[in-house]
Amino acid sequence: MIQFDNVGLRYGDGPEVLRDVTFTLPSGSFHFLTGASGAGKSSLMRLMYLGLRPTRGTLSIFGRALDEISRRELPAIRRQIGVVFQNFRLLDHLSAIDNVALPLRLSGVHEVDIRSHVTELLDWVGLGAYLDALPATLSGGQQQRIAIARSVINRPRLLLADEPTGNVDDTIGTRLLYLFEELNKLGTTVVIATHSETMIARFAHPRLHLDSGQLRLLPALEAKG
Amino acid sequence: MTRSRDLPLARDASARFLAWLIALTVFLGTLAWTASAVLADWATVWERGLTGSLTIQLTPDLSGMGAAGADGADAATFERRVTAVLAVLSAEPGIDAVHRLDDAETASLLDPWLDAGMLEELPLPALLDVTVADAGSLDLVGLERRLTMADPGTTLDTHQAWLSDLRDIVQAAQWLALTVMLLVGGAGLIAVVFAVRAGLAIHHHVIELLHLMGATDLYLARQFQSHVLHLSVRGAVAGLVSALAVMGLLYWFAVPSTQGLLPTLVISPVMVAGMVAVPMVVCLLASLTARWIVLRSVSILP
Repeated sequence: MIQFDNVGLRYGDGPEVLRDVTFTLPSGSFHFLTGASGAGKSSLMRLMYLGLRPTRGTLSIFGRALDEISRRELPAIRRQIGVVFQNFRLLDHLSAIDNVALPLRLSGVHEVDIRSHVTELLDWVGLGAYLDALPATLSGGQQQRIAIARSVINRPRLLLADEPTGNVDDTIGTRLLYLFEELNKLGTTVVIATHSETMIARFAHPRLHLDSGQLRLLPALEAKG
Repeated sequence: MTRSRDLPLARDASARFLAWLIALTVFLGTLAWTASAVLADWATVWERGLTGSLTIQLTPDLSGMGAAGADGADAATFERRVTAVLAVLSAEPGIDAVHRLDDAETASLLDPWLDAGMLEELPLPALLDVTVADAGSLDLVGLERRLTMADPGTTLDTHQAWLSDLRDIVQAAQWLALTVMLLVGGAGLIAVVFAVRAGLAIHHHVIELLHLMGATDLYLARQFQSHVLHLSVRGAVAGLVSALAVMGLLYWFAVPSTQGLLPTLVISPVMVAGMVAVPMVVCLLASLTARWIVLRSVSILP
């Protein structure tokens, strides 16, 4: 699914924020990405959702090395990746339903099909009554669920979530992680960046741990139910 | 579900001024095109009227001012001079017909410049309108010499100098119109470039997000293209309507006062084609420019 081989990343002429990162995520796996603030979690996520290119090393996604993928092919690959951004990045001028519909529209799905799909999903995340609401009128938790709905509407092969529980209380955070587990059971590869050790402790999944730009693969913590 | 655009371009300040600039571009472009077409039509009318024709003028003897060419002995002398000239013309090969303008026709030619009272007092020249059968076979130099020998007060006007000046003026006016069209068109396109660049800068976060979600460069370009096309069509319609209104006012006020001086104004297919083509070309160029600018800009995204 995703393979990093001695990947390094630096911004401009600055120091390397990721060094010699090597790991493989099998298809259908579930990993937490952990590490202290500034350890490079967001940079690693950006590499995985193809928002950046590594400055060295080889990154392969869906079985193909990034260097060998033409720019013309990249949008189709990106449409197979669902991303929940740390600050949601919802479009303020679009309603909840239009925000969630974006990936479908980018994929060229017919408008008639879009409404039924999006309505069903927003119902499922408990926002069926807020279809036409603008993000600014919704709470942080509701915005987060819209962001999550948008990331999964296209049935992505890879789901990346950057601190998805950072702005919600423990109850909602736990519910969201159960949602990600459900998606994982349907075959989606999931990577969740978080610094919440308590959250990770509730779910038994292996961890990619970043420490000063270097990555270690750690086993799952003992699940606490 | 109301389909909203992914990029809120309609809210940008540039959306307001771009439509106005496109309107101005179409307004000036349409006027310039129409002016050029009208001049070309008039030149054709004048040229058609003058090619293959000569005008011979016999000026009356002004020494006995007050009676010359009008009555008495002077009138008889003047008629003899005219008869001598007509005899030369009738013997000339290559001349199809000779028409002597009567006093009323001659007066009507002078009417725009001189009032009726002055026309009655002034001695009028004899004007002979000569139709040439074959302009190439006529010996104009020889004809002029023979006419001068028959009557030294005869002048031969082949209209060539005037036609040449007319062609030069029309050509210069057409170049001027083309230059105006290119300048206003260029200014309009520069406005499109700035508006699109402003839109790209204002919405770069949204553009980056759409790019990361899998939007193709073409998808992003189409958002701007359709936005610019929408504004351009609005502006072009306003510009065209304004230009038509100005042309209508000019026609309404100018035609009565120029009757006799200028050929009748006819709406030609070239004029209509221009009125249709100028707004369409402006809209097309504006939308293609927007597309090109966006494609160039987003190509640097990873």
